[in-house]
Amino acid sequence: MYVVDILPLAKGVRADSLSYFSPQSVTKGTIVKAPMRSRSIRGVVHRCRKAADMKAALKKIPYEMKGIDEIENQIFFTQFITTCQLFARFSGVTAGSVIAALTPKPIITNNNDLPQITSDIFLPDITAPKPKIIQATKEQQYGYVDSLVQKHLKNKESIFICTPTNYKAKEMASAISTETTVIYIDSTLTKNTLLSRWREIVTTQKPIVIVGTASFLSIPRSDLGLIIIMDEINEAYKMIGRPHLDKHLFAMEVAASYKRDCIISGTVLSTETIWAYRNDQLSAAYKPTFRYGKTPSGELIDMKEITRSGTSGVKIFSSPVAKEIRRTIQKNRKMLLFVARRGRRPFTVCNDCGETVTCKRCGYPLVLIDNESENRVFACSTCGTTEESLRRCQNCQSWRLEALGVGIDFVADILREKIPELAVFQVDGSTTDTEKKLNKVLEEFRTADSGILLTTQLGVNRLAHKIDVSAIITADSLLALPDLSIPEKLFALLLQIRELTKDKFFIQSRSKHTDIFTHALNGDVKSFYRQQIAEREKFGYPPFSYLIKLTSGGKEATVKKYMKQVKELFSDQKISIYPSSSSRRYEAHALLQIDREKWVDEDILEKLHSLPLAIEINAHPKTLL
Amino acid sequence: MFQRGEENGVISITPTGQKASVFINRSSMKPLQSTSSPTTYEVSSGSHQVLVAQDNYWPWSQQITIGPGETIGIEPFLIEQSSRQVLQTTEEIRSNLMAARDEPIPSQESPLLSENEDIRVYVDGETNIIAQWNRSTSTAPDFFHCHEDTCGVSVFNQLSINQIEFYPGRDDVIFFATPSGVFAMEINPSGETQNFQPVVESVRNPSFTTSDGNIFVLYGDRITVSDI
Repeated sequence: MYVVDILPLAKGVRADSLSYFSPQSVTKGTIVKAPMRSRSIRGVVHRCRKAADMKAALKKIPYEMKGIDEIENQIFFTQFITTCQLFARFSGVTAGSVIAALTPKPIITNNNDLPQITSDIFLPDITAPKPKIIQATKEQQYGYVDSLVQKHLKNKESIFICTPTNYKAKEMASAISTETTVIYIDSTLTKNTLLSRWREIVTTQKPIVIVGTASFLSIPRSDLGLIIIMDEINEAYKMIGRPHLDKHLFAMEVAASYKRDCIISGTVLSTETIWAYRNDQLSAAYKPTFRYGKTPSGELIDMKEITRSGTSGVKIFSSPVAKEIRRTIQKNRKMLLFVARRGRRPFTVCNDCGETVTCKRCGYPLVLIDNESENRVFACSTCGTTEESLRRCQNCQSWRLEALGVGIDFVADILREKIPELAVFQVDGSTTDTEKKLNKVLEEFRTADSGILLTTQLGVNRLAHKIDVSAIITADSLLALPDLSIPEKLFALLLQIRELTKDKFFIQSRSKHTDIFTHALNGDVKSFYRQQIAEREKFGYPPFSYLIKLTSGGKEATVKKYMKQVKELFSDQKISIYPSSSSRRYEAHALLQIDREKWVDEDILEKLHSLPLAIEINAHPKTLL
Repeated sequence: MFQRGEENGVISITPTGQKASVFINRSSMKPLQSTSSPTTYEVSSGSHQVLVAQDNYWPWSQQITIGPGETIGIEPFLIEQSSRQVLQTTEEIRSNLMAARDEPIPSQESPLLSENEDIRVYVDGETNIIAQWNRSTSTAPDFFHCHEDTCGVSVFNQLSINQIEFYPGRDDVIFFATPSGVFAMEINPSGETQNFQPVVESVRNPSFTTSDGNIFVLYGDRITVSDI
């Protein structure tokens, strides 16, 4: 008889490990079914011991240990399970929740249909190689990646290219040289295709290139030699829901744990990554670009001045931008107009108390949009929630709500009204809400002789060809969110538009804080980082600390009670507690700022694991709101 | 049947014993020259499944991919399906079997070296059998994964390992003992089939030794022998 310790994969289990009897020895990494209260849950074995060797310990346990229900298949490397355990500690959560979150459900539930793993990944007796960075234009990145791929294939090693989204995985798969065996896998595939791709990846004998999202890093490929993390700062790497993992950090952990090469790539890398590079914790695969080329020419237009000197109303277009819009028709040119927010009006505020109308689910400002039946509704561009527009202020219950700001529908209406002959191709999460609609509009724009691509970030991410002129109509609303990663995201977006533009790049702004725009117009990454690092050092934010955000929501009294307990529990740590007024229900955050050198700390970890399930743990958050 | 010609390749099989049959893609094949050793078989270029079978022995199979004009050499190993109990054996074998019980399991610091000293084998943790290439990285077989100057592969990571030895005269097959059996296994885990054959199963804490084409296994006070 054996005692197996499993990492539970079921939701709502706070225990890191559960023990069961087994009539036979079970290898680490095997999926099993085991009883848990009245149900049967799946778990992954992480340890198996002979019961005979544990007689004394077994006599002391205060409960009756149950037997395992069913032994299923071993589909993971044992080293992968070790990696998940390490990453779980780094993220302050349980290892089971890491495995469950980073392995697609059809893989777990159909594990018996997948090849069994009998050996493990070979760990060379070396120190894990230092990760390397690539900071370059998208075109250069693809070139560098392709050359690294060929080099590793020549060395008989497979490569995993990790992308933040399914779309990026598809795009990347098509960018690799055709003579290479590229197997693309993502969670949009049907169950059968997904299982068949998994099998193909595991059983193909010659080295291959796997392109997929981080959820497929669990695929056991023993000749893996390199993990490439594309588009590092893409927010899709960070899970919105529990267990709030940062998947790009997980990809780095896998590479380090397997002692394999790791490349972190992006047009703009995160401040933490550049800081680590400057401190010699990372090296460069190719000389990183800190100043992009001089073209296109750029101009920053102060819209406050224009509004002040104008006659009345809000000015949407400055004269240079308006001139360029008209020239698109006259000169058969193509232009991109960027508007940060979808809908008509990106913000709605209460005229009585000044509160911004926010999403009840995620807390971001709601946008007033025209839906398909031409009714106006509030929509959240972060989590997709919609609400009827007839709502009261969540703070004072007033009806006096006023829509403010400029959304993409508002700009589209003005363009169509003022210049009816202009071809406007609109792309945003509401207008082009399906893949088919999005591709249709982008294809129409690509084949048109001239026209305007009026877009939010969605169209920028998907545009595959260059345009003559670009203009940021409004991006100030992004800067209005006092959040950690916003400057990086905005800066990367601006550089992305700059890279797509051949001749002229305009940025209109009403903001006082225009440094970020100036740096983007000049392609000056170095100055941007210098400023970012200085600001983060001033506030002690990452990379100068690790942050763990604890969130509780519900009845105000309960939340306050929880937060009081959290404050007492972590009284020896630097902790700040603040309400998140953006939710329908009362919600509060506790932010732990931990010295970089002190994480992972056993004492803090134990306290985190002792917290009730009602408190969400978000280690290394991207947003503090 | 295959047409002889330039588009074909040759599979060369090192002795399998007089009574062994060779099946290629599930069809019994006649060798090019029945008296030659190794025996050779002409096949079309492409992927083929080779199966070597003999009565009372575990079958051995391998998927191979062969190019036009190419000759691929394979060396199957056959293990008897049922071992025979030995009532009396030499003192040397008995003492080797007793000594094997107390031998330390090869570790990374003190690995087991193949006869030609090309490969060293050790157990990482309790279960993970690692094979490491002992020479310069350039000549390591394809299934070894090379990082910096180290080439290695995880052979098997399923059961607790008590003893490991190389198959006599070979560096591509090992015997190993677990708490409940003795097995023979190829060290190449990357093919579609990693031949893995039991010598004895469902016994307690066996030890083994090889001698003159036989493998002797000791468990409790019983000794068995199988041809290899």
